[in-house]
This record gives sequence, structure tokens and C-alpha cells, in this order.
Amino acid sequence: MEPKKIIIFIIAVIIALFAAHHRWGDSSHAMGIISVKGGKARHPAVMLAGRRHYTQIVTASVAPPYRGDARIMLEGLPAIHYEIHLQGPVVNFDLKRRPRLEKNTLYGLEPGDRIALWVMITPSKSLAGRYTLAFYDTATNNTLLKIPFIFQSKDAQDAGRTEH
Amino acid sequence: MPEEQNTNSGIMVRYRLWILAIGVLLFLPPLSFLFQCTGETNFCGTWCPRMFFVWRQGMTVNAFFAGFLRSYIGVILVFGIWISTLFMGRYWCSHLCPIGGCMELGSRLVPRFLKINFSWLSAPAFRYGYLTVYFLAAAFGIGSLCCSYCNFAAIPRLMGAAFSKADLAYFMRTAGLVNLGLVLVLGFLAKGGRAYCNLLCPVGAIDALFNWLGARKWKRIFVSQDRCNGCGRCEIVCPVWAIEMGKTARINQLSCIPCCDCQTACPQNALNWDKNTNADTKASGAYATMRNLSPQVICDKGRNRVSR
Repeated sequence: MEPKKIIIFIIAVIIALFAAHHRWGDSSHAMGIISVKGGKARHPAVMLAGRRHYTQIVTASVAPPYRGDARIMLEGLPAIHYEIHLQGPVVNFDLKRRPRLEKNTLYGLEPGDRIALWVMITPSKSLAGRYTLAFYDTATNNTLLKIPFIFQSKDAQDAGRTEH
Repeated sequence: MPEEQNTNSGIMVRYRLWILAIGVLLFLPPLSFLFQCTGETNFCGTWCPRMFFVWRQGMTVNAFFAGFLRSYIGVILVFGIWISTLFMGRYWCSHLCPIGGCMELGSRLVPRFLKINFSWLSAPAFRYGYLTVYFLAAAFGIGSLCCSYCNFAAIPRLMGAAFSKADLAYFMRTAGLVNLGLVLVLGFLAKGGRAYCNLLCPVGAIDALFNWLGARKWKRIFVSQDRCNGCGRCEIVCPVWAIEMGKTARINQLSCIPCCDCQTACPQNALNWDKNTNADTKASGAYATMRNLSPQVICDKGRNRVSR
């Protein structure tokens, strides 16, 4: 093998190792299961404190027998500005039924549904501490899922971790 | 020397860009038609073609195969791509992939003076360095390249960002901006539009191995050394810089996709879509030629080809 190719291979390995190891800290991916028993978050979403903007990806599936509408809230103090967007088709051909999001409420959840939410957080001042993205059934107010959002200092290990 | 141009298949060569455009329309926003047929909106989820084959630290065997079930359409797609490549060459990459197709079509709209030429970089060396880390970093818990740097996530979001806040949100974070930079520099601004595919696509990297394995027995683009005069036109037009010029051209089957731009450009009819019956090819590794075949034999083998 030519020395030039060996050098390029090693450079690629170094760049890729850095890219794989580095976490940006202003976003991560949280996963959970929405259920009538209170749901289950696979792991908390951990981000670096002190950023001006965060974008959190939340994917969740609906466990049977739950069906209904779910209100979503980002709970914690101090209150922060956030927006929630549901991933969906731009032009909807209505080939398959899917839940819809209006004013932070998911309508028409059914067993087996899988949702992908983008939570955009814009804190007015430096953000640190623990918040919770909570899903409540609109009819009963029961908790369906709670996902911890942890904003931690730079020396923390897991900030920005996506788990995959 | 014959004046006519050989092609491996008239439709697949003449209408390649139209086929790519149809793939882009069917897969990507605003229509995302094929995803909607399965209740999805993009490659993330059941269509994910990149994550299921990566073993992550602490993963049980059950969890590994659960990933196959979770991304079952992606599994079918990827294994279909790899098996078809073994027998027929990399038609997914050259003709069907909406991700590579979007970047290649987009790059054709970029003025030539803005384009970046990456052909100085040995693509297989870089690609397999990246692929090595793609597997090992996850296995040893160093980190992951699966979702953080994903062309299959970035391109559909880029196409949908003008219409959907959820797609736009993908880029409202540092990782999204890094992905945007990668697809812009290595895709839309790259000469040929295929640098991302050639360097950083793990599906394509494994696909290229199947292409290389299949080149020993099944049809690929080969160079007739007796015909090639070393003019270098094929090297200039190759979008994946798979052609290396010495006195004559040599095709690296670890990079070649059957776009056939080289065939179209060759004034000597020296590039042919055919089985490689030359024993020298095995000795020459990834490079393939048809050195021992006379021009007449090649013409006879390719008599069903369309002439231009």
C-alpha cells in the first residue's frame, strides 16, 4: 500500500475519532414510551449549561392500551421559552393516520404510534439545572411520560449524548 | 478507431439524471411519497439505513437484533442494495439514491468556478478510515457517528426546511449546522457532487466492497487497454474520481459507480460495461482492465449495446 494512502487512512481515523467523541452540547436525543402507567424515558437528555439556544429531539412510541390526546409541557424553574414541533410530511397525502400537534397538544394518539418532536428552547438567561418534558393525558391529567432535561456544567461527561 | 460510443444500457445512461430526479421527488420533501406509504416522513425510524448494523458498547444480542426490527425497511433496503450491487454494480448509488442524487443534481446548478475538486484525496483510504471508526467508536463506547453526522438525516431536512419548522429545527443546533456544512462542501459544492458519498457514506462504503467483490465475476465498467490512448477525458468527468491515469486509464472498483459518464466521454470506445475475463485484474487488486481482450472481442461481447 502506498504511504500516501496510509497517511490519509490515519488522518481519516483521527478526524472521525474526534467527531465521534465530541459532543456539541446544545442538542441531544431523548427516547421514551408513552403509556398509561406513567411512561418510561430511556435516558435523560443531557445538555451543556450556558448556551443561548437548545434543540432537543424527542422520539416516543405509544404503548397499548393508551389512546387519547396528550398535553406537552416543559416544567422547571425559572420558566423558559420553548417551542415544540412535530415531525410530519410537508405535503400530507393522508395515506396513513398520524397524530397531529396543535398548541403543544398531541391529538389522536393510538397504540403503536411513533412520534418525533423537536423541542426548541431559547432561555432568556444562562440555563442550568433540571427540567422535565412532561406528557399529560388531557382527559384525566394523568402522567403519560416524563423525560428529564438536564443542563449541566462543561466538566460533565454526558452533555449532548445521543446514545447512538 | 471506431467512432461510435458504447453504453451499457441506453436508457440507464441517457436518462440517469431523470431517474435520479424521480428518486429525489419520491423520497424527499415536499412529497416524501414513499415514506408516507409506510407512515414515516423521512429515513429516520423504520427506514434508517445506517444504524442497525452498528454494535454499540453494552448492547445485548437481543438489543442488536431489535434494531433490525425497528429499522426493518432500512434493513430490507440496505441488504437489497448490497446484494444487487454484487451482481449488477452500484446502480443504487448512481441512479436511485435520493441523497447522493440530490447532491449531484444540486451540484450541477453550481457555477464551475465555485466547485471544489477533491480528486487529490485517495477516496478509499479516507472512506475506510472513517468506516473503521464508524464501527469501532460505537463498539468501544468512544462515541457515535451514526446519527450525529448523517447524510440520510440532513438532506431530507434540508429539502423540507423551507416548508416545515420541524425540518428547520434540525439545523438550529451546532450538529445540524455541521451536517449542513458537510453536505454543502462535500455535496453541492464538490466537483461531481459525490464527495460526501465517496468519503463519508457508510452504506456506500460497504456497497463499494460488494462492487469490488462482484467485479471479479459480474459486469462492471472496464478499460480496454488496447484502445485507451490515455487522453484523460474519462478522469475529468468521473464524479467519484475512480479513474487513475497512467499511460492508460485504470478504474478503481472500490469507488466506481455505473454512471457511465466516462463511457460517454471516451472518444476511443475504451470503456466497456462487461464481465472482466482478464486474470490480471485479480493481481491488480481494485483496479480493473481488459488488457488481454482485443478490441474485436470487446465489440463482440458488447454487440447488444446501444450506439450513439
